[in-house]
Amino acid sequence: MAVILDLLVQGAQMALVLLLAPLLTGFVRKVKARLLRRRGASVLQPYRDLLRLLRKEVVLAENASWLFRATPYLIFAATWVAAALVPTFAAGLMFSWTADLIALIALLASARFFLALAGMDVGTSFGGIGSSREVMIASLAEPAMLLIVFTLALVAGSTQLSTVAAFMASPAVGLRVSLGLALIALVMVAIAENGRIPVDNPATHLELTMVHEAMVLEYSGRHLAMIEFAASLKLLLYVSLIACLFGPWGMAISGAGPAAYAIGAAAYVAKLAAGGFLLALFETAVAKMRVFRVPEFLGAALMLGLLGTLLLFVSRSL
Amino acid sequence: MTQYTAGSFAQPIRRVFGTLAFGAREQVEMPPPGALQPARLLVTLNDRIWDALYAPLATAVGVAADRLNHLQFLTIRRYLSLVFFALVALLLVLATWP
Repeated sequence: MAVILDLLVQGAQMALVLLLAPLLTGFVRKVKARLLRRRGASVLQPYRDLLRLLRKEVVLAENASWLFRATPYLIFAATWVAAALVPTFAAGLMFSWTADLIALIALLASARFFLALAGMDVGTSFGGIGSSREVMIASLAEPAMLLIVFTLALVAGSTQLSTVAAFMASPAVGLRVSLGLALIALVMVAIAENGRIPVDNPATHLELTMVHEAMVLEYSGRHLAMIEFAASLKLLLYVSLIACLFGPWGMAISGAGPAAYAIGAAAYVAKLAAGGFLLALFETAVAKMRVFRVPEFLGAALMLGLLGTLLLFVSRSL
Repeated sequence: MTQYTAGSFAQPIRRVFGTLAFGAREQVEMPPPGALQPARLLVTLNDRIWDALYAPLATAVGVAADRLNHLQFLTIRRYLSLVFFALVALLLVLATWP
């Protein structure tokens, strides 16, 4: 009985991330539009877009291989699994023990690998530009992410997300410089990984500086729906990751009962709304940077992560 | 149709890590408008790993080969004594081996 209940809660978490992901994307777009004094589309528009794309016919290039057709589902599956592993409303759920932070990064990296391959599959130069830029950004973002993981693991003594979240919620964590550095670095990496504004513009299809949109330019119909859904899930994943690591307040513990879960879910939605609002605010305030300025941006994240790790080696209480 | 090649795929990474890993320097000579001489774009790359790791090794092997070259021009007396002393030395090594 207990196993079935655990499975149900885990299933609820997987369904929750799936249901909330387009809403978060829609919310960020809406807030951005309101900040620019536009009315903006409804927050439900991403759901409608996904349904529309799912109903539409797929247009495939003649020389598209099986890889091109399989990649959207692979990316969606990997991203969904990764998003379901991050503790959202409750920590210590059933599947949360199967993978740690490093496995999570590996899942996202494999999704990116396949997306980069698919971008080059049809053979258009535009997809190739997107792929090579994506790989360049990844080669800078992933070392930074690993250094952030090292910092957190040194503080919390584990890379397991539920354990880290429990440690961060306890008073033992205190006020640490290294965690502040890790938070800033993680936000920078999250912005780069999701292709948000200073690095890439998710709203345009016309600029030559675009990265993610250039790779998925050849996709249509249900394939595009899968990729868009995966992109929303990835955004949700990073916001939940930051919320879980640096603000695990209100999070329920596995087996705490429906009331604690409801409080956890309410706190989670509030955290998502706060994260989405801050993201929209930041995106409206800054301008897009040139592609070859991105290494400096991510280099700063790498240096902050490195500094956090070094500080912890100097003194465990920093 | 132009194909996207491995070189073009690696171009952004090479450009980002070029200054660090290859010590790349770019020199652009742009003539003023109306001038007839051509514009020049000069890119110099230094392979630092080759210079730091393989070049000293290659130099050491070359020097050793030059020195040992003398061994190929000995008289028969010297060859015989060389073989004899080499044998004695090797047997000594074998005898004193722990």
